[in-house]
Amino acid sequence: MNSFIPDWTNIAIGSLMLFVPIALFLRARLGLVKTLLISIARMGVQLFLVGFYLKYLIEWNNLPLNILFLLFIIIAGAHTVGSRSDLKLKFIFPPITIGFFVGYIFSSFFFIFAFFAGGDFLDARYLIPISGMLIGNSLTSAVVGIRSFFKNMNDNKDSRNYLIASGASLKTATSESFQMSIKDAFMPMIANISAIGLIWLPGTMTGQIIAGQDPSDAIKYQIMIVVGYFTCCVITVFVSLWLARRSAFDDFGQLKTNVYKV
Amino acid sequence: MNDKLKNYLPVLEIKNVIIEFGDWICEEFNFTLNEGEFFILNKSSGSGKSSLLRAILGFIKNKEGEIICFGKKVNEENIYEIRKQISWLPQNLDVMKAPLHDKTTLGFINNILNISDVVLDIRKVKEYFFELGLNENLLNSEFLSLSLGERQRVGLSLCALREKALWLLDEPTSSLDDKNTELAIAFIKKYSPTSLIISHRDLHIKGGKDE
Repeated sequence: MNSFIPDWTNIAIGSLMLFVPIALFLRARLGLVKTLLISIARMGVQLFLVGFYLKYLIEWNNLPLNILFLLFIIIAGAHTVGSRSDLKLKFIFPPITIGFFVGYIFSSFFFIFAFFAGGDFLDARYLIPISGMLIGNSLTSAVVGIRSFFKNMNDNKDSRNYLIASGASLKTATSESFQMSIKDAFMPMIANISAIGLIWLPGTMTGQIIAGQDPSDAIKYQIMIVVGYFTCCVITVFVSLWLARRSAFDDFGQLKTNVYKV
Repeated sequence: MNDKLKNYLPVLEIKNVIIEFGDWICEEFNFTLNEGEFFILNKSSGSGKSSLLRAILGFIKNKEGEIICFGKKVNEENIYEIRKQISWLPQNLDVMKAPLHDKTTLGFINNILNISDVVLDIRKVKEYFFELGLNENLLNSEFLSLSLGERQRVGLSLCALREKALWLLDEPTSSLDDKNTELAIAFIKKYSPTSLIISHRDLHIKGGKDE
């Protein structure tokens, strides 16, 4: 079963539908049109490049090269999260990068030895797209978790200090902010997971079904991906927050003011 | 209290302390607080009184001068030891809207006592509530639903429950009416070993020295 592949003219004509959101944005005077256009242009260029280099990565299937590529997406992911965090990159980038490494390595371990037992997860055609899913799907929750934690930290200074003055350790005094930010980060993801298959068909299985795969096989990939990115993301956020919390306070137990972007 | 008065050990020494935030500079503080004393800082608002309490607790750094508490200089090494001997009552006793913890007043008291390594004695809690004119039914109400004045008095009863050597009270009666102010002052006199009290009004505590 060969699937239908649209040609570039079709895509260009179809994309004209964007005139409607652009017109609506202009009408509402949101000042977002420039950002929107840049985002769409970026998407086009990035996907064009991805299509190009994925072709070669998969063709060459060279493990050191693949690992180099994985390093690149982890660092790019950590950079994306860090730069959307209201925190100075110098402060937040190292904890997030380590968090991503731990989360990604842990979950890919299960892909290698469990999900792909008998297969070869390290084969570029599996490794590259699945790793991209694991990290890419972690971004939003990681951004929300880290933003929420440091916003809470700033908002609840007085009640935190009251706990510290009463003899609480930093860990205890920040535990409520920690709980709230973890909830903020994962409630949407958990709600989303419960709606998979009911309201929306996520990307992986959609892609496989379009490519002609039997839907009952396509869901296997989907389950692996969801379990994988959820685990990767939770570990990433916990590790990043643990590390960031350690370095965010001075010897008096006070939040360093220079961790925030001015 | 009279036994302690005899010793006259300096609990807190404030030497030429100046605190600065950006453009704002507080006036210079200079005083010694001895064991058994009540020291009432009765200065105009904006003079940096609350900031002085925060500096004693190591929450902000003083720009100049020295703070010595229980014979130890307030610095990175000593601050955790010093905090262990202090009960601080901030002006607005606020707690986070915690999602998981017990939200009742009793839950709040219990949480703070846990952190302070003090075992909850419910009989004492009720006794202190009575002395401060608080209805003991408030123990089962959500802490954040209490009025500012009620929270201040819960904070005072926590100071007594924690049994620390020095109380730092930031406007402990600011939200209280005259009757409850009297109860609060009587309570502080009865239970506090040594107190530094910030107030914008005259508290008339006998045995206290006003500045």
